[in-house]
Amino acid sequence: MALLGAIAQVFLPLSLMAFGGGNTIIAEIQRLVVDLHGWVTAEEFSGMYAISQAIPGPSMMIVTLLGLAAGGLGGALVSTIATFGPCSALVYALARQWDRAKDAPWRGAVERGLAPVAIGLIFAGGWALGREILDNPWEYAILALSTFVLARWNVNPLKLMVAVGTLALGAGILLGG
Amino acid sequence: MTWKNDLQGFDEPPAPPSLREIALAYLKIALSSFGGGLSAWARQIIVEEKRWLSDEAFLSALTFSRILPGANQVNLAVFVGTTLRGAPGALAALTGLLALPLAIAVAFGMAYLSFSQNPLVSLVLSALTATSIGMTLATGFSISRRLPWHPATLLVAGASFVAIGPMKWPLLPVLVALIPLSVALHWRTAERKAP
Repeated sequence: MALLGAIAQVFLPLSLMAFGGGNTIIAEIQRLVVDLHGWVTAEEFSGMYAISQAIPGPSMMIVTLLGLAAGGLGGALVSTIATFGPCSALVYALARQWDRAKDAPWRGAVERGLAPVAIGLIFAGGWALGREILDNPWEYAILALSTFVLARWNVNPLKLMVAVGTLALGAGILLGG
Repeated sequence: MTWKNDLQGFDEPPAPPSLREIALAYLKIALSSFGGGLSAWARQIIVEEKRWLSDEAFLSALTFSRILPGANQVNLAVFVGTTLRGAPGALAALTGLLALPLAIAVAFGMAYLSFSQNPLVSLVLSALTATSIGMTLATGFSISRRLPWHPATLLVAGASFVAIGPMKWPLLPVLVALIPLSVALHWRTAERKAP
């Protein structure tokens, strides 16, 4: 129970800080679950991030995987509900006020003001994920190539993941991995 | 209910859908989003297929979901559910959106936790991890491209990257300092740009 409480405590405030979407709090989640609580290693964290990106659903599904690693099935449920609950309650509370703000001047300023904060946080997330686990030249090559391909062309990311995964599996078998 | 106004563009305003319909529509949206494109699928099903919201109302809802903190798609689901059927509608949309991804995440997570020591599995996962970090950076680049860049924009983006990335500072104080500053700086750029 104490563990589930600790899991809830970590994930409850997180979504309320995710200004600009789920991708903006990756670095913060890593700081909390890897550095502060030690529930997973940096390598496991990044592996789980990869899985969460490949499965369907909203961003931030990594919280389910982290809850599972920290506290089993109960942990997965607690981390998921704790993550999506507060922001959902906020949306519910404000949904009916939204129409009134349609032409308010602050709307544009808030949108424009949040965008660069979110961009910085997204790159910080990439930094946090890569910093401790990328140690081979070929990993950097895949990183650079995927970034280029995805940013340049409108490729379905899942197809790219399947292609990269198959190539890695083939290379691993051939090299007797 | 001010929401009825949003439906005026249609010949026959549809009756509010049942909770089951809302949950099933969101289950379908979640299923369709294998490999991304959740926003596009949500629009396709909510606006085109079900005609629950007009295009304009959907765009307004999407903006709302982006301004508020949280996963955009979760916020959008709660907004759509609330609009259609109040709190029960929001719960139905949330359940539909999250049930399947939750089950899949748990299944993959269990597999990962038992096989991550296997050298072949860990090799493939390292490759996929590098790809997923690439996805993250690509998201950052494509949002950046759509933005009108001012010196203030670059300053704020740089500050938030350095504080959270290399410096590893806690997020909350950084947001409390940066968001009001950034909104204030961009208030002026907005005024200047208005014709």
